Amino acid sequence: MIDIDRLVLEFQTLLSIESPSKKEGKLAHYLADIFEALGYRCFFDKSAENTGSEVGNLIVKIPGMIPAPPIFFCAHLDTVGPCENLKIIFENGVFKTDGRTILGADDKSGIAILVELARVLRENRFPHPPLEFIFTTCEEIGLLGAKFLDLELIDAKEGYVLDSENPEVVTIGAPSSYKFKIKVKGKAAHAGLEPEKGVNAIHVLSKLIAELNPGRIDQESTMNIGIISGGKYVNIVPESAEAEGEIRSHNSKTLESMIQQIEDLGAKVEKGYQPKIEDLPKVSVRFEKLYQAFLISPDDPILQPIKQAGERLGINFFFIKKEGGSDANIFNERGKKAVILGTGMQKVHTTEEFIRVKDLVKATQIVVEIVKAKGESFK
Amino acid sequence: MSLLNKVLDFFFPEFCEVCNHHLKPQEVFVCRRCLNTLPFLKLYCQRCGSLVSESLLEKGIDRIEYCSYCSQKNFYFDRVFALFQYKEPISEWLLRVKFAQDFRLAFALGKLIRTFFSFLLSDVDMIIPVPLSNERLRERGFNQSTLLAWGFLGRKPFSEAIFRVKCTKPQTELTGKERWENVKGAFLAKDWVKDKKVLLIDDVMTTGATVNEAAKALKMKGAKEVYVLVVARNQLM
Repeated sequence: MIDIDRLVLEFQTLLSIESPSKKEGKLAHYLADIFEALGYRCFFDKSAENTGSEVGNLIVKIPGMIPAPPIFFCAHLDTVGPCENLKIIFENGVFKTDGRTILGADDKSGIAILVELARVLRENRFPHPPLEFIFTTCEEIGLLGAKFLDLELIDAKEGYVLDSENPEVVTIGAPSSYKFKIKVKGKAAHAGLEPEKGVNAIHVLSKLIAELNPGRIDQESTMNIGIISGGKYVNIVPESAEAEGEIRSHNSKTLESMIQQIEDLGAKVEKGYQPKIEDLPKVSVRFEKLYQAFLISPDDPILQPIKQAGERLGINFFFIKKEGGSDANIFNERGKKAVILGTGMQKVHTTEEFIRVKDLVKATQIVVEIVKAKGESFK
Repeated sequence: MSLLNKVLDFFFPEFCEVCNHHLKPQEVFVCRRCLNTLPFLKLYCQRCGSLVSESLLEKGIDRIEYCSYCSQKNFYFDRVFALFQYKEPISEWLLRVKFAQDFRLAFALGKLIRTFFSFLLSDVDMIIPVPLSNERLRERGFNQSTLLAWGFLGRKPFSEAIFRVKCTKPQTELTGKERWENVKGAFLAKDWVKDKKVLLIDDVMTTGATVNEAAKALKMKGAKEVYVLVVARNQLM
């Protein structure tokens, strides 16, 4: 059913189309051509206005053979850098690069799988529900495509995101994540002539940071301070200082208490700092939600076709929680249930990125079996 | 190191079980060097304790929430915590506890698992060793799981919440399927486990039949969640 040579060739072609975030246009139009040639309806949503990408998210609708509820599959179009002048090396059944750029199997392997699935459906007649393919833009720069995806265009209530590594591992949970920015406003003064008239913002900020406890908070939560900046010259008492960090947790209560803790700490440091000049220093902490946690329970129907596919292919699937965010976080947050399937890609976001054809084929088989199982279970 | 500890250490020095070196105060049961050589269980399904090929570890996966095996089997317990593979020297130690009545060893093993799973102490409401039947208890004179739990807790565990009402054949003599049949209806729990988060402690888990049956008895009486803590995870050949 699956044509391995065709899959490999298509994957190679996709890799050679450069598609950094916000410049997914070429790839998206290439895909739209393929799906239209296969006879499926393609359109773009208007998310480009908000994401700043060349194109919106590409949506492909594949009509079902049975009136079952539709399901969606999602892969993202963009890749991380560096990706200029990609040189693909294919040997012993492994795709890799010459070590100067990333390969781009994240997430072009997912796209290749969906293209192959569409072709398989065109060639073989078996009962399957209507499918919707969502190709999102700007995933790597903050899940923007999924955030601004026009949900009016999607009928499916649940689906599968093809964007993790091992095909036998299904991601059923991910943490919530918040970014935070701590800003301290002090008062500038000449450091040698009149230091008494200044309030040293860097000093205040370091007091605050010294009391934070970055690292692993508990089994499900972490905190990090990632950026710190402030000050202009060595002879000036710095007027402002900033630190940025993030917190993530699988548990929303822990997350709330962490936020509260950081806010309280800010207030405490601001209040306790001596001497104060004109009500300074001022400490402000701002939180920005990046994505919302989700967790799918073991007996959820969305997993049923995966288990069936596993039985048929002789695979024992493992279900894990991931530590990072992906389009699936956004889908779950916006009311579309989604889990993440593996495509076989490995060492993603590094120049050592590679993918075994064996794994890519296995992932494709799994996806095809999921569609079949979904069709067969409909009564 | 407090003075009392120093005195205790002088009169009752503790030695590493493996290499017989004098233990430092923060070391429990085995010295740090030998601890690294023990057959730790690196990756297993957190839901059913299934062993998983360690090749996944290299791909950065260090925790599995559930697998397709257990999500279809519907076990009565909710989580499994296991520390070792059932291999030398762990297997030898556990046999020594059971058949050579080495109480000190059982207690020390309990203490050792405490150093790895101390977070469970505050997480659960009740810690219960898997019980023996009265006949077996009379025959053997002690319950090895109680001793392990004693070491784990640091005090005598509360064991009156669940009873073994049927004297079953030892599981080790049976094959996989027979094990499930053998323990059916073997346990009965008391009402006061209702809405409690219970931790069951046992020495070895192989198919999970025994702990599953015990967990079933607890769940029947309304236990909210049942966790299982075992020293070693074995696999049927």
